[in-house]
Amino acid sequence: MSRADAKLEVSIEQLRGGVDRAQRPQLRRALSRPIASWIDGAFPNGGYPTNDFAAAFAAWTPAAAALAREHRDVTTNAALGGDLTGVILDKRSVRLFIFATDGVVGGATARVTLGIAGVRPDGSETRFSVAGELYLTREASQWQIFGYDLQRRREFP
Amino acid sequence: MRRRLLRWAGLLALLGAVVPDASRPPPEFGLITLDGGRGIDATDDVIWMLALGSDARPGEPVMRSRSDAIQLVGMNTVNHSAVTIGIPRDSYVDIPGHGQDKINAAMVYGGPETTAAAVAGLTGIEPDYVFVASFPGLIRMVNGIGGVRAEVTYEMDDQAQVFHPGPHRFSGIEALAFARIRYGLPGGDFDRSMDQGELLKGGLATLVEGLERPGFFEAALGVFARYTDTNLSPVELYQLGRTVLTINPARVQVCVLKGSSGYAGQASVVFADLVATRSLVADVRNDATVDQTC
Repeated sequence: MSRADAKLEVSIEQLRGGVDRAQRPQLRRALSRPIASWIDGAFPNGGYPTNDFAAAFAAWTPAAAALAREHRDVTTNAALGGDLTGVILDKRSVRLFIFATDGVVGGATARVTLGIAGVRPDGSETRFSVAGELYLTREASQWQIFGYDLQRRREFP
Repeated sequence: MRRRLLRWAGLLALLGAVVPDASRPPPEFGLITLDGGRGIDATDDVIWMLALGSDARPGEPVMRSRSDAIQLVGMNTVNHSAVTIGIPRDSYVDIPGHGQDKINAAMVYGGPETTAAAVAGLTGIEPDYVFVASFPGLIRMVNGIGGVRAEVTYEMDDQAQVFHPGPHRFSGIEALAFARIRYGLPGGDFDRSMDQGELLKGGLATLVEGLERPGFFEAALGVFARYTDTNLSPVELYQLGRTVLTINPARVQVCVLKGSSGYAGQASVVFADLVATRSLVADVRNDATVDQTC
């Protein structure tokens, strides 16, 4: 593939509950980690054709990962992975809405938008997007995805 | 959002079938929904929460005053249904360690834990969580989410507030009145308990509608946390809140324990219909879903 994936853009849109502003960069990085892990594992740039997206849920809670596997046509590239030679993510946007109380962060909603181009063996592209929400919580300082509400849409031409 | 997109996709397909190709330009853009998926890692398949309304007056301890509203709420996190079981506050029950009394006195004797124990003794269901709201807390929460819709069944008039039958959007102060008024209701405390359940259902519907707005959930939970005395950590609060909001308001069944009015000494009380109570509990205990009528 000659085209590179778009940069992962993560912004904090809402953070209340007495959290010090100085914590924002660290919080953004910590929340970005499981989301980036999912995107990279679910919609990898290379290695096609493949139906192996096992790495997608490494940063999910076990129960959420089990549910997400049932929706793998939405939560991963399983629907098309076997028919493609490559994938380019030309949009990777994440907006974070964070809940905190008394200065302690409890969870976050990540509104995710992925713009994806799948390359077929003849060089043509099929375009689709995956968008929706991921719900994150933490165990100690380790953030995990514990829920999701995602839609996958095909875009044309 | 998704439904709207599906309708649009259906409309495009219909146009494609009835409009000659020459009469329409080739499409330049299009968008169709392929698939959607939703799931949440809930701690349990069924969660039971006891929601108590404390009638603490200014200066009185919220957790050690009588409970004016007692609602046992079961939530099925798998099929996203729920049941609210209203327990009339005058129900005459065994309060562990304190003998027989009205169930609303249990919180005075031993706080929310004792009320939960009394409810468990009556129903056989031990709540996983107990939630206590004060009058000002309820008003703030309802106002904080922009009001709550519920159905008014009977004409209600307590001089300060008048509600006519039909759908109504309640402000915080109105919601408190709606939850408390029992005069004029043919079923008295039983109808009042039903109204409290309807208010919970309406509150859930309002919250679920709000989820469409980015950041609404976190803001609403922030309001809740600010006015709630809880031993749940912020992480547990977030997970529980997200789990509760997977419940489909259309699948919430509002029930009230059956019983009859009578006297215990000089006190006017409610005697629970134990046969009906056992029957309802047997129906909902494992799945929080009403298969019979309640």
